[in-house]
Amino acid sequence: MIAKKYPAIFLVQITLSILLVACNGEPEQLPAEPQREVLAFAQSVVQQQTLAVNYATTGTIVSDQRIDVASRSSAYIEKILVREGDTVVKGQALIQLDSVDVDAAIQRVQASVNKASLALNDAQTDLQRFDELFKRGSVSENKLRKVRLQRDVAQDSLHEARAVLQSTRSQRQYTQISSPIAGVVVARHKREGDLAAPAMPLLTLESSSGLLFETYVSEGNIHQIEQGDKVNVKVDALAASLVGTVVRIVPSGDPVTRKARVKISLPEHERILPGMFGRTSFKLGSRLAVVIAPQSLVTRAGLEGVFVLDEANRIHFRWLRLGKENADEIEVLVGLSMGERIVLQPDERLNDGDLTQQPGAVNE
Amino acid sequence: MNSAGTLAQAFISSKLTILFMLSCVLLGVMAVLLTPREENPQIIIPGAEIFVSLPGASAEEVEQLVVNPLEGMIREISAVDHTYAVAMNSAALLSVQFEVGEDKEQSLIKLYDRILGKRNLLPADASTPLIKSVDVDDVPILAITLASEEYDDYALKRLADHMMDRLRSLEAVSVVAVKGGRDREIRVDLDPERLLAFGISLGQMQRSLQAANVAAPIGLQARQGTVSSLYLDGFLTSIEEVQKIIIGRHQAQVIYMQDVAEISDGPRKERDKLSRFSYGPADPKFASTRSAEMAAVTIAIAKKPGTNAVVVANDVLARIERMKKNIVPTGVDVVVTRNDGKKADAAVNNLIEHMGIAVLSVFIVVIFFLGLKEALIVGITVPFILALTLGADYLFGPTINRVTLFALILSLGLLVDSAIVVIENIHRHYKNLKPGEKINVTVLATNEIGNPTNLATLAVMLVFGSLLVISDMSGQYFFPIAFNVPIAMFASLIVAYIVTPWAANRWLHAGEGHELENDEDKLHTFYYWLITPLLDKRRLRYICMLVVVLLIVLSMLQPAWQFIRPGGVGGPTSVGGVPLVMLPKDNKNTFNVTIDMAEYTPVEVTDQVVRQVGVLLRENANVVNYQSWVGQTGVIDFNGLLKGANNKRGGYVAEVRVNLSDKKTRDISSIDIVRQLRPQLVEIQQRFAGSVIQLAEDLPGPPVRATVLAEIYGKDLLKLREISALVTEEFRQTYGMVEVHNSEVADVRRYNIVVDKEKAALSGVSVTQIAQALRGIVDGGDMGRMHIAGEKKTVPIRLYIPHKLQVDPVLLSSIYLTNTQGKRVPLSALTQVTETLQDRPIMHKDFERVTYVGGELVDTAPAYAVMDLDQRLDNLALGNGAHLSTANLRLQSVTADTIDGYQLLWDGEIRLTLDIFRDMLAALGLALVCIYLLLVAYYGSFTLSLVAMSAIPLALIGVFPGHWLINEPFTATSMIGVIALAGVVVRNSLLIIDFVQDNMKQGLSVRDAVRDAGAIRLRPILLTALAIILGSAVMLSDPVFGGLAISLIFGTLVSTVLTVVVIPMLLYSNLCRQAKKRPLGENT
Repeated sequence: MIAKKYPAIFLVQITLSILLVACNGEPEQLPAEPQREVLAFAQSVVQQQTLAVNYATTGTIVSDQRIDVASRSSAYIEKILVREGDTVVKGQALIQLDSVDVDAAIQRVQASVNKASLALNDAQTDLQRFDELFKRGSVSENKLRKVRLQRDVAQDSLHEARAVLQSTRSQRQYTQISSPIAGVVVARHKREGDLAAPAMPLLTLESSSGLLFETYVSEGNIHQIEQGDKVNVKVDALAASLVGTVVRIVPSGDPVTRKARVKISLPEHERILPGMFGRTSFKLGSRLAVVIAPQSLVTRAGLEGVFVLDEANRIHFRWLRLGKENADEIEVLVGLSMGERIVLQPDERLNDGDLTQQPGAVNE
Repeated sequence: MNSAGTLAQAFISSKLTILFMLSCVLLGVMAVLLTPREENPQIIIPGAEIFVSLPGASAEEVEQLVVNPLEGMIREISAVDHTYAVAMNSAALLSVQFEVGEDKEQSLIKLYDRILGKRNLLPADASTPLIKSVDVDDVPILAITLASEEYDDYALKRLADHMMDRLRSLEAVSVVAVKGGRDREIRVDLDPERLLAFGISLGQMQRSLQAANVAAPIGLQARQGTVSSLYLDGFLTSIEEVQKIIIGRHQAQVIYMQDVAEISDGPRKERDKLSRFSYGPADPKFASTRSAEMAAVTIAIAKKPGTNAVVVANDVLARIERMKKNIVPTGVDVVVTRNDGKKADAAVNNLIEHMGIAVLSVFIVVIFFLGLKEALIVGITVPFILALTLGADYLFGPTINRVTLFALILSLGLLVDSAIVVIENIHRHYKNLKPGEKINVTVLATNEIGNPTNLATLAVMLVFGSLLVISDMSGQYFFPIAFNVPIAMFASLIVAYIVTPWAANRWLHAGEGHELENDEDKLHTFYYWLITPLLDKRRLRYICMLVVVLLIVLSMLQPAWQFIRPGGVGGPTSVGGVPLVMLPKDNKNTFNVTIDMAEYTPVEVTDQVVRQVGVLLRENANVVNYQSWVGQTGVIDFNGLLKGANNKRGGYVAEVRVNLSDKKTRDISSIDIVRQLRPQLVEIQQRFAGSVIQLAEDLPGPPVRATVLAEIYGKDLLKLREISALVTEEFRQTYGMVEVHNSEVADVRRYNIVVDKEKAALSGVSVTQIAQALRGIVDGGDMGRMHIAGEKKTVPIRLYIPHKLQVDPVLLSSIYLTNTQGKRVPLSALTQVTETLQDRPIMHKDFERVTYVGGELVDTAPAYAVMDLDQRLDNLALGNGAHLSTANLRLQSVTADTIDGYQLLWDGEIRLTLDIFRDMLAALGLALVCIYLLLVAYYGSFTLSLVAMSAIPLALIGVFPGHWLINEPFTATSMIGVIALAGVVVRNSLLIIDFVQDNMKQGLSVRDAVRDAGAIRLRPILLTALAIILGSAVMLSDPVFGGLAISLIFGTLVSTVLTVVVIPMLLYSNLCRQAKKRPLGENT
C-alpha cells in the first residue's frame, strides 16, 4: 500500500512545488501601446557636400592710397579746414597756412619790380636822348652803346624782378593746402597755430576707392595661394562677406614669425572703411562632409540632434556632433551618414517612435 | 548508558526541556531578525588597483619602466593570486588580486608597504603610485534613479546631490555617490580666432584669470587695543566678474574676457557621457510618458560590511519616500533601479516559504508511516533544529542567504531522521509497555539506537564537512553548506535526544501501535518475493550484479560520451548526454547589456547603438525600465567589479541596465528573454563595425571574466595580435559560441605634432609652451574655481573650444604663440604634423604579455566548447615553425610559460569548473575515506565496510539519468548532491548490516538473517528516502540548486531501491565467503 501510495505523495509534492513556481496568476495586463497618429512632416535626405578646407587668417583693411599732406614751406598753420573722418574731394582746401611772410615778400619784390621799372624808364629815356644826340653827333658812339647797355640791363632787371614777383606770388598758393585725392581724412597731426615745416605731415588722407585687405600668411601655406585667387573676406563690421582677389603676395617673409604679407583687393563697398578688422579664408582644398539644414535640429533631454526615419517611417532621435556652421547648413561631424532620411522641420510635438509621412502623402 | 541515553534521562522529565525549547525558539527568532540577509554569500576577494602615470611615455616604455618593476614588487607579496596590468601611452594600470579569503586590510597594507617603499625603482618623472582598493563592500546595494521629462540632467544632478547629503547620516550607509548628470561650472567657450584677432595667447588668458582669482589672509594687526586680521578679498564670485577680467590691452583699448569668449554659468554643453532612463511596457507609466528616453541621474548607495542589506535598503527608501514629499518637485520620477536588499529579502522569504513546504511534506510522509502524534513530535523538532542552526549562523558568521537556506532545506530530509529513528524505537517499545516504566523505557529506547544514529549522523556531518576543502571563490560560495549542514545534523541529534523522549513521554501512550501492520506484511511479502531468488540462485545474482555494473558504466557515459564520441567534442549535446557546467544561469529580474564599440568610435555613434537597443527593449513586454549609460559604465555590480568594468570609460563604451518585471509575475525566464534578445542585438552589432554587444546576466555563483576565455601569452605584440585574430575566428566557428570578443583594441588614428626644435628656438618659442597651447586648444582646461557662497561642490572655471570652432590638427596655423620678443608666431610654422596610429596598450597577466579572447556560450557547456577549441588550437602553426601550445586544462592551474613561443591558457568558467570539480572530487574522496575509516572502526571489518559503501556508486545510476530526464546540466551543486548522497545512502546500508548482524547473533542462518533484515529495514529506509526526496523536491525549481535536488532525489531513489536488493546480495556473498569453511545451507 505504502509503496503504492508513495508515487501519489510524490505527485502531490511535485504538484505543490510546480504550483509554487507556476502560481504567478495571470500576466499583468500590459498598458496598451497608445495609438499614435501619423504626423505629416517634410523630410529631407541627408546629403554630402563638398566643403572647402580653408585656411583662415585675420587682417586689416588698408587703403591702397594713403597720403600724408605736408606743407612745402614752413609756416604757421592758420586754419585747418577739415577734421578726421571728413570725406574730401579732389582739390578741396584742407589747410590754410599763415601768409604774412609771403605777402611781405611779394610787396618787397613788387617794390623792386617797380624800382626796376622806373630804372628801365629812366634808361629808356636816357637812350632816346643819347640816340638823338648821337644822330646829331653830339655824343660818341661809345657813349650811346653804354647807355643802351644800361637800358638793356634795366630791362633785364625788370624781367628779373617780375620773375621774382611771380615766384614769390606762387608761394602764396602753398599757404592753402588742398586735397590731391578724393578720400577720407584719417588723421590730423598738427593743430592750428602749429608751425608747419616742410616734410612734416599735417594731415593723413586715405583714398576711399581701391581698398585692400592686408593679412599675413604663414610660410607653409604661401605656396598654396596665388595671385588672382578669389578669397572670401569677412569684415566683422559688416554682416556680409566680400569676395576679394589676391593682388599681391610679398615674397619676403618675416624671419621671426615666418609669415608673409598678402594683399587682397576688395570690391567697392560704401560701408567698408580702412582699418576694419576682417578674416579671410583661403581655400586650400576640399573635403566631403555631411551637412544638414539648421532647422532640422531639435533638442531632446539636453542633446542636440535630429529625428531620423527608419524604413517604417518611424522617427528616432539621433544625437549629433555638429561642426562648422553656415547660415544655411551645419556640418555634422558624427552621427549621420549619407542617404538617411531626417525630419526637415521637426517641432515639439514629435517624439521618439512617432510615425510620420511626407505632407501631401495619402493618409491610409 | 551512551550520550543519547544520558541526554534523554537528564531531560525527559525536566523543566529544563521547556526552557531549552523556549531558548531555541528565542535564538531562532533573534537570528532570523538580526542576521544580515544577502541574496548570495559574500565572496571576499581583496583586490587593489594601482595607477601610475608617466607623461608622454610610449606604451612599451611604460611597460618596461613602470609595469615590470611594479609587478616585481607585487610578486614579493605572499598571497597574491594574480596581477593584471595594462601599459598604455603615458599611464599604467595594474590590478592585484589577492587570494580569496585573505584579510582585506592586511593585504592592502602589504601592498602599500612594498610599493611605496620601492618607489625609487620607478622613473623619477613617474607619478606616485595611486593605490585604490577594490572592495566588494563598495558595490552599491541600492540604486535610485531620478528621471524627468522636464528637467535636464544638470537640474537632476543638483537635486540628487541634495538628496545624497540627506542619506549620508544613516548609520549603516557607507559609500553614497551620484552617478550621471552634469555639474555646475563656469564655461569659457573660447573662439580661437577672436583670441588671435586680439593678439592674445591662451597662456596670457589663463594667467590673467588666475591672477584675478586670489584671496588670502594677510596677517594680524593690533588697533585700538584689539587684534584684527587683514584679508585680501579677491575671489571671483560671479560670472560677471569673470566676464570683466581684463586679459590684455590692444593699443589703447582694454580687452575683457567676454570679448574673446562666451562665458556662461551652467553645465557643460558638449557631452562625452550621459545617462538616460526609460520605462518599459511592463510599467504603467510607459504609456503616459511622452519622451522615450529621459535624462536621468542615479544615486548609488553601498552599505557597511556586516550590516543587513534589507534594513539599510528599507531605511534609505523610507528617507527617499519622505524626501519625495518635501524636496522632489513634480515632474521628477524617483525610481528604484536596484535594490539588493529587496532581492535578498525576496530570495530569503521565498526560501523560507519553500522550507515550510518541505517541512510540511516531510510531516505528511511521517504521518503516513508513523501516525499523527509521532509525526507531530517529529514535526516540532524541526523548528528547534533550524533555530539552533540559524542561531549558529548568527553567532559564527554566515549571513542568511540563499546558500544558507538551501543548506537548511537540504538538511531537512536528513535531520528529521534522528528524531524518526528515536520516535520509532520508542514507539516500538511502547507496544508492550508496563505502567510506571514509561520514563525508563523511553530512555532505554533512546539509548538503544544511540550508537548507530550517532554513527550515521557523524557520517553525514563528515561528508558535508569535507566540502570545506573547496577552495577559492567557490569555497566561499558553498561555505554555508559546509557549515550549516553539519551544525544542523548535530543540532538534530541533540534535539532528538532531548526533545523527542520528553515529548514521547508526555504525549504518546502505551499500546498505540502501528495501524499499518497489514501494509507492512504486504511489503514484507513483496520483498521476500524479490530477494529470495536472488539469494538462492548464484547465476541470477551474477547477472543482476552485471546489470548493475553496466548501468553504472552507462550512466557514467552520459556526461563522458561527448568527450570521446567519434563526432568530436564540439556541436550539440548528444542524445542522452548530460553536459557538465559549473553553475547554470538563474532567473533574475535584471540583466545588463554592455556595448563596446571600436575604440575610435565617438560617443554620438555609441549613443546611436544604445538607442537602437532601447527600441528593442521598449518592445519587450517584460521590461519594467532600463537605464542607459553612454560613455561610461553604469552603477557597478559585483560581476562588473571583478571584470574590471569600473575602469572602462570613453566614448566607445556604454551599458544598459534592464530591469524586468518580477519573476513571479513573469511567464518567461530572464534566461529566455536574453536568449530571444541576443539575435536582435547581433543584428545591431553587425550594423556597426567593430562593436561587441554583450548580454550579461547576473551570475548565480562566483563571477568570471568570460565563460570561455583564452589567454594568449607571447613576446611579440604583432604576433600576439595575429594569433588573437586567428583564435577569435576559431571561437566564432565554435558551436554555441556567441559574443566573441577580444582585448585587441582597434587602431586609433593619431596626429603626431613634431616640433622643429631649431625653428622654435630661432623664433623664441619653447616646446613646453607649444605643448601647453596645444592642450589648451584641444582639450580646454581648468582655470581655477569659483567661490560661490552656498554651493555644495566646487564650481570650476573651465575653458572649452566648442566643436564648431575646433582646430584642425593639420592646420595649426590659427594657433599663435607669443615669443620672447612679444611677437606672435603661428604654430604651424614650427611644427610638422604626421599621421600615425596611437600606440596600442600592452596587457600583462602575471608578468607575461597577454591578449585575451573571450566568448559566451548558449546551448552547450564550456567544457565541450573548450575541448573542441583546444583540439583545433593546440599546435596551431604560426608560421616560421612556431606553434601555439595550449594548457591549463588540467586539474591544477598553471602559469604562463613563453620560453617555447606562444602559449594559450584557458581561463574563465572552465578554470573555475575544473577547480571546483577538482575540489569536490577531493571532498568526495575525503568523505569516502572518512566514512570508510568510521565504518571500519565501527564494524571492525574491512570488507564489511566496503560492502556498506557499495551503495554509493549505485546512486550514480540515478544521478545522471535524472539530470537527463529533467533536461538539466550536471552542475557543481549536482556534485554537492553526489557528495551528500554518499552520506545518505551509506546510512541505508548501515541499517541493513546492523540488523543482519543482530539477526545472526540471534542464530539465524546467513540467508534468513539477510532476508529478514532487508524486509524489516525496508520501511525505515523508504521513510528516510522519502523524507529526503520530498524535502529536496522544493529545490527542483531553483535553477542553481536544482542540480542538487536532482542528484539527491534520483540518487536516493535509485540507490534506495537498489540498496535493498544489492546490499543484501553482496552481504550474502561476502558472509558466505567468510563462512566457506563452515558451509551454510545456501542451496537448499
